[in-house]
Amino acid sequence: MAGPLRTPTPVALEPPHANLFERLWAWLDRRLPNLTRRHRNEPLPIKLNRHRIYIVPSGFGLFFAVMMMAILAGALNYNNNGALLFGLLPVSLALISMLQTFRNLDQLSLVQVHADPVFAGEPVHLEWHLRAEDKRARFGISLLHERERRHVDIGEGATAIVSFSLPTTQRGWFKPEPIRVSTVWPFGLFHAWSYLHSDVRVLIYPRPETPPVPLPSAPDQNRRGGGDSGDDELRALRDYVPGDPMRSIAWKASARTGDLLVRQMEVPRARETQFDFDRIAGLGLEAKLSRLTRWVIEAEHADLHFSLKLPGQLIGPASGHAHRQRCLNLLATHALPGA
Amino acid sequence: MRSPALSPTQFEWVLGAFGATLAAHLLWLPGWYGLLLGAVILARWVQRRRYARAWPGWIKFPLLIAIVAVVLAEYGNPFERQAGTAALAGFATLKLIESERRRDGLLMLTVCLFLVSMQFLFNQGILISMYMVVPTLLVFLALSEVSAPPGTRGGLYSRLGLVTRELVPLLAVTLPLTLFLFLSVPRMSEPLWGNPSETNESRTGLSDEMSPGSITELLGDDTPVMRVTFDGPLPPQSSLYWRGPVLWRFDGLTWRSARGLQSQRRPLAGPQSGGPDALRYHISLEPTDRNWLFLLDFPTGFPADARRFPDGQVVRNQPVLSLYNFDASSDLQASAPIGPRLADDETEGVFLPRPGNPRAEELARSWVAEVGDDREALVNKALGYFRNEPFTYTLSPPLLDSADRMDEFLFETRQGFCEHYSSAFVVLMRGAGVPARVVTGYQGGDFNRVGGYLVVRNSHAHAWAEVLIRGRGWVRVDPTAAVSPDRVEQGNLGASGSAWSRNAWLRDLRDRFDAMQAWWNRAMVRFDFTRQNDFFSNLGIDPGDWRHAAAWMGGGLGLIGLLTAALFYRSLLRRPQEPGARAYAKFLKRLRKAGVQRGGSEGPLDFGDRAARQLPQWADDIALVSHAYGVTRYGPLDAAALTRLEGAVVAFLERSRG
Repeated sequence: MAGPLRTPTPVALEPPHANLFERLWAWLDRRLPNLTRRHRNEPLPIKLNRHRIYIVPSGFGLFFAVMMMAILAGALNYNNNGALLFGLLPVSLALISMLQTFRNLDQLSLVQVHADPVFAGEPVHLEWHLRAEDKRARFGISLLHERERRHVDIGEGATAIVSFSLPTTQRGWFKPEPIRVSTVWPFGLFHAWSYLHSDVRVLIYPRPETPPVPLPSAPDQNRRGGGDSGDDELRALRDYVPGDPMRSIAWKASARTGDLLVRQMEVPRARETQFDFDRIAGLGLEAKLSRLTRWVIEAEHADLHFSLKLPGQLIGPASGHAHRQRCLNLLATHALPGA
Repeated sequence: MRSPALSPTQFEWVLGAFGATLAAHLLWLPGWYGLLLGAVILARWVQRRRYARAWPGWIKFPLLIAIVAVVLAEYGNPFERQAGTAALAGFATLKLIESERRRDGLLMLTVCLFLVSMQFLFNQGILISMYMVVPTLLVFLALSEVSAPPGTRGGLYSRLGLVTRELVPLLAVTLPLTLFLFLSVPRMSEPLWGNPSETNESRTGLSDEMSPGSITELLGDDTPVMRVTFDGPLPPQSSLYWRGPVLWRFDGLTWRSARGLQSQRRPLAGPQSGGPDALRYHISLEPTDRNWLFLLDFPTGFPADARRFPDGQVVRNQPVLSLYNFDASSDLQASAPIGPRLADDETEGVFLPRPGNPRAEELARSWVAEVGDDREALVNKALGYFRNEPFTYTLSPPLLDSADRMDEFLFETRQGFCEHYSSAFVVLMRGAGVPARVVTGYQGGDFNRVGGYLVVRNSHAHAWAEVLIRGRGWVRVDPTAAVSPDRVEQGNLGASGSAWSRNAWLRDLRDRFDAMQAWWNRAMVRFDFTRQNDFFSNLGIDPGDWRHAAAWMGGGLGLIGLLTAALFYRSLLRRPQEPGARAYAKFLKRLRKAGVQRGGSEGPLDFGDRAARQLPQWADDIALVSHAYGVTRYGPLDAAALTRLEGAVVAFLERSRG
């Protein structure tokens, strides 16, 4: 089964004679990868550390700071040590909580992104696996991905799985947008965040053609109409679908019924079938792949022995689930633009 | 973006934190105002449990008007600290009944912190200070709950184990940091703006009037008024008369001070340091909201911001609003001097209201007929009268309600305590034409053996008399002592037979607690500009020198940073270990015991070969472990390799043991 796939990312080497600005930029890029916004997608696992985590006071934190300053100013002015002590206690708690907020993200790892391949048009379910690498629990971790929010707690050393459903439109490699991990734990006074740019790609199969088109050389199962008329000629005819070879059109029968009808090929049952890209006429690339996808699905469903022939590539003949996956992978990646 | 709604749990945390904060203010808020706020909070709690909705305007606005009206009616000036705090507590309660969203909750919790610190305007005692930790922590636990994103727990409190694991290190760092900041924040020698003014406050304490019952209410009150440390040995109890307001004017019912009378319109004595053989002591006076200082009779030395009136009372220029420490000295043998003009003292000292107490005046006149104008003999006549007639000392005397109360007391009930005896005595003296006046103050004190100081409490309140004797001045006469010598020896309660003060165990406990309070006052409440300077000079630090200041701040914060690192990053203090290092370390240790030491730069495989040669009986195991370690270290990371290494080490340890 084709799970998430990874490709190693080449490490960009610093040119030896870069000018000062470029060297500074390269240094920033290396030290503060989130700041430079020139994100390289990285292989998993991605572990959050102090170079990647940013922390600022939250809006409430700023309000809190102003209020505490007012309390401290009053306490100092009136020389009221009780008020001063109990103004400094919250201030100290708030200051130390900054460290806790940071530590809530620190050493958190994105260990895996899992998604089952889907057909274009179906939503892809991305599962982000976040692990607390050290033996500490994490609380109130928020994830923002494609404008959707999820919140999780993660137990000590445990892995939390956060899933997002995203719409897909076209076949090929789907690259998820970076995910934003943030937290305000424990007191909501500070806001720490980081972006995870993983190099994860998910394969999206071509959209199967609808309505289904009968297999090109399938045994005669698709009788049309009433079916019990006993008319052999009619039994071997079916509706024309775009792409049918011109020579298989039953012109006489078509003239009789007014619909364009096609003669079904006589193929022995349970014998090898070939789905040939080139034998589908009159359709664009994507439409052809859609039809082939449909056929592969149907053929595997019907437990057929089949082969798939694309320009320059031939898979099979074979049968079974693994064969289907190989065929779908090939269809998904065939002649991708830019690939 | 609209703030998310408060969940029931979040709301209850906010309510709990607010309730705990308000509870501390109930100590001083008018009782029924506290009841009103408490009732609103309770009703809100019950309502919010059933459905989450803010209270409608037709409840809110009448409540708002009621709160404003109550505060104005109770305090008058809305800008007073009491009125302001009471209003803030009321408005916060109103905010609670419309708190439905997270931002409301956060605002409430911030206001709670405000109210926590405002509480200290009213009370800085050690017990209440300890209590205030509770609302502060509740506010932060509530913050943790309220700020948690939906579907997650705030974390801190969700499990007991987590509370200890997360909260204890947090507090372990926070408390030293708080303390350090408390010591370091520079105190101001002068306030930048205003001074909390308060006038019509009803603190219990002596007043400048004495009417029947005004002292009784003090006698049951054990609150400390002041703590006194003597430079030398403690003087005998019977000489400890702490001088307060001097009362001249009598209208038949109430004694009032002489302010405004001719004899008092004289230059006042400025600050004095006292004679060389004066008794010196240090007083730490609790806030009284009055200007009076209570010094031993007769005061000769007092602080620079106080003056002494001709009647001998020492008065500070501004009210004592917070704990006030000062040095004083007194001459226990001296009598109060006569005022600037003898004639004024003589005329004002014999005034009696008309109609007065005919029987008392009749009795006084009979003594004059007997002994003539000898004032000392007349005093002895009166004291003898108290001693020989069946007078008794009691703190719960029968109520005097006739027009001539002194007659009723002197000839009928004959039961009372200091205020009756001093008052009746002065009336008798004036009836005999001897100038006399009532002096109020405190008598005695409880010696605290733990702290080595004397505590003077409200229950030590006392009233005595002074008579003008030519050549000697105003001589103190305590008619109460004539009736009940125990009063002066053992205090009011001792004299009236209370068991409390005689229980040694309870007394010891009370002494310990009071010593703690005194320490708290000294170390925390009075840590002001002067004390802070003293603190730093004792450490050899000059806060004015920026290098010293930087060293102090850097050193303190650095230590706290180390503590933080130690608590939060314990794991970092150990060297980070590669996978399998722990197992390999066990292997190395066993080999070291067997006499084979790994060289610093020796690779694991080279070392394995050497060790196998030196210990041929374990050669196979050594090779296996070395190889497995090499794989975990240099090969692709994989869990199976780690398992193999650990298994090999365990096997080696087993075999090499035998």
